[in-house]
Amino acid sequence: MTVNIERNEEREARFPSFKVILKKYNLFFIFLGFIIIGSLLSDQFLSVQNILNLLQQSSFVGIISIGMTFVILVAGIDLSVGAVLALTGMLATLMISSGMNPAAAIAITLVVGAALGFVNGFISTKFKVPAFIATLAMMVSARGLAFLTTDGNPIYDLPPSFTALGGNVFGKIPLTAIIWIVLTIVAVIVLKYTTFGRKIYAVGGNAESARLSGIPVEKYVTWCFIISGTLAAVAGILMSAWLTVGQPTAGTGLELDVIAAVVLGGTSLFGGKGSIGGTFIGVLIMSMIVNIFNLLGLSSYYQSVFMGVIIVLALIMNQYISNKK
Amino acid sequence: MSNILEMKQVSKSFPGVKALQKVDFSLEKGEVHCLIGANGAGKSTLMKILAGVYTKDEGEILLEGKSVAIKTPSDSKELGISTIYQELSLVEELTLAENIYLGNYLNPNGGFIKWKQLNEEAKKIFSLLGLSIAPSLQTSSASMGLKQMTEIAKAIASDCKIIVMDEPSTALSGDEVEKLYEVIRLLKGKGYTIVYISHKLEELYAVGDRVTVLRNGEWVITDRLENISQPELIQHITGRKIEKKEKVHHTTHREEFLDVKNFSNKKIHDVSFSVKKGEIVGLYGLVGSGRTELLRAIFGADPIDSGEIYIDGSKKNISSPQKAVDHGMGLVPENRKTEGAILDLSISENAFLPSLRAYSNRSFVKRKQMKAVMQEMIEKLNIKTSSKEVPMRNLSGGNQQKVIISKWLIHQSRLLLFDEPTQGIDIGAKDEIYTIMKELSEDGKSILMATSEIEELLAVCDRVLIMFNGRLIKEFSTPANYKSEIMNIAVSG
Repeated sequence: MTVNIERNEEREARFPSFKVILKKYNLFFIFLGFIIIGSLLSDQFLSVQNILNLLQQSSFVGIISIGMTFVILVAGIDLSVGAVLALTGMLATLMISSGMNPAAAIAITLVVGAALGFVNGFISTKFKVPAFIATLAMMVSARGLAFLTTDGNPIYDLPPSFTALGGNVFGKIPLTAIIWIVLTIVAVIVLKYTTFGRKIYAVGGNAESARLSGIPVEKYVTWCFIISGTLAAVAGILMSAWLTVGQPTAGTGLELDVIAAVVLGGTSLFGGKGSIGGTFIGVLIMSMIVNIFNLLGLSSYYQSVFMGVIIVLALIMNQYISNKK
Repeated sequence: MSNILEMKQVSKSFPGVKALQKVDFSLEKGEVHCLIGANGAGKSTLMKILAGVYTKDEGEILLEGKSVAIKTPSDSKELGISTIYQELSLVEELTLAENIYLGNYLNPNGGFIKWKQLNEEAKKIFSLLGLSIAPSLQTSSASMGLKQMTEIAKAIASDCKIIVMDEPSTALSGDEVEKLYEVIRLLKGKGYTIVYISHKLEELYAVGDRVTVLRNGEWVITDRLENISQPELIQHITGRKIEKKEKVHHTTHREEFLDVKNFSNKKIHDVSFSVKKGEIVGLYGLVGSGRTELLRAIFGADPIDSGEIYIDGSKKNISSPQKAVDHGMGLVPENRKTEGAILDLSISENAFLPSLRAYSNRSFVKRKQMKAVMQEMIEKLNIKTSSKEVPMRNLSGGNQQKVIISKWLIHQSRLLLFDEPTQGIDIGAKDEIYTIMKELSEDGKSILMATSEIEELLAVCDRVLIMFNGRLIKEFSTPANYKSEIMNIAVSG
């Protein structure tokens, strides 16, 4: 009997049935569905320019979503990313506008982002403060600091050597989108093929089992928060370069978009389950919804209403498909 | 006698596995019917179909001669079938009475709770079971035995005719098990029909009228227990003969591997002992005597207040499981599901958790090499699985335990700490685990095993340490000759 089972499984692995494909890649089919809807509703939807715009607009949420995926995989949450984006954006532009070499300013800013992430991780692991609360506190404080840097004023007068980061390369391909895609590929490889990545899944799947297997759980959880903080700083730098202005209000409420995209992408809030590929598609689906509304010329109030409805519908559909045999 | 329930030709498949194949199962009114089989034999699946947790693919269920459809747990309840799962499902923060009447609080229309009536009704049910217990006790402060009784009371309160008990004795002490038998006999006398699932053969003979054996998802035999001897039963369960092995004592143990000196923390007091290379040492004692706590302290999972630990002659500071693993220790914890396994990861990922560094190249994992090693482990430990990538969740308990043991074999640990290694595991797999332990010891690896099963202790261990109230009180170096002394001392201190 065992032999037969093995044969069946091997056959399944080589020639998966349509049902198996649908179940495994259901998110991708939802994604395709949105592309079809978009192209039916607007001629411009599939134009090269629109696709590039879409990637540009997705890239900030996209970059942060990578870090958030790491944090959620270890059953954490990081509410501070929007505020950290604003604070690091202010810090970078403040240093650069006062004459510092942009490369040095960027390096310092990334370290600050990592440090803020470390504080989140340290407080939640060492003092057993729930990540929700620790990062909520960070969110409030970091936002306050962002305003304090300039008393709430935006920072202009940024050199072109810095704002070029927010521009295009090879003609009209947005650099931020390229950075997002490269970071996504790196994260996929890290999570799938490195010992670090596999341990992340173990820690998120069952922290106690992981600990008793000799994995220093707190260290790995803290690393995930550091990654999240660093990537929030990357997004902060890129967003201020793209806007050519440092703004203390940047990224307000962004954390919720990011969390929604990650969850839409199939990562479980309980940890241990999910993927960067899913997150990537989750981010794209959210941007496409906004994009379709913009192309149709509907007001942003409608956008908000429908965004909520569509996220819930997509998740229900996802659940329905993956529970169906 | 008339059959109250008949399950005919029931089949059920899960992706890749035929869990049940045309199984027949019937219950006579007022009998205690034991259901037994190895892990993965299909007994849980069969009972979950009866409980409406799973739906059958094929077959028919007749209740008092009439065909019934059980699609959901509430269908099952309405038909008068009540299931008590191994992991009890009581709400710890509520009182016993509230748990018994959870769902409607004797007041189907909602509104205020009639506490007095609730407690009186609960008390009536308890006294029906021959128990005098205050139903207003908060559940979290009740003993395991009392919780089990509350589950039974809950079943009776739901007006059921058939009660299914899934390994009810697992967490109970000796006295509590006796009480459970009494209650079962009482219920039988009152006309209730009971399905009793257990791995422990003595229990079947103590309470059962008939027994049904399943193996690999197929029906093997149904017969009255008095017609079937224990060895015959074992043969039906495993499909092969198991000879009882007596431990052969090696007296050639060489130098010490582990030396624990004056270990103390909140749960253990001034414990000193050593384990030699190739020696299997048993830790015996009542639940709460500090066995688990001692293992956890040695492994660095719980902090110690004072004490020293020497490995291979040199003093080590083991302040975390990570350090313990680095120094060649491995722990097979008591709770497989919550401490041993990561259920959503594949068996291969579970098995390589402690050894990822060794199986990686500049932190990239070496998948090919891991595959080969895992295949070796699957064959060596006889792990029953359709592939290396199956999630741990899909394996039966015994096979999960083997995967957890394989973690430390792959890591080439030199000292294995086993905490109740065969709890809830069927006889066939148990025997295989003992064989693995013996092979490890012949290889020169040391084993420290905490257990509450005296037979296991005598069959496997070279030496036995007895714990009582967190202290090590006695040592026996030829345990087989001192069975009754060991049991007495463990109880009385």
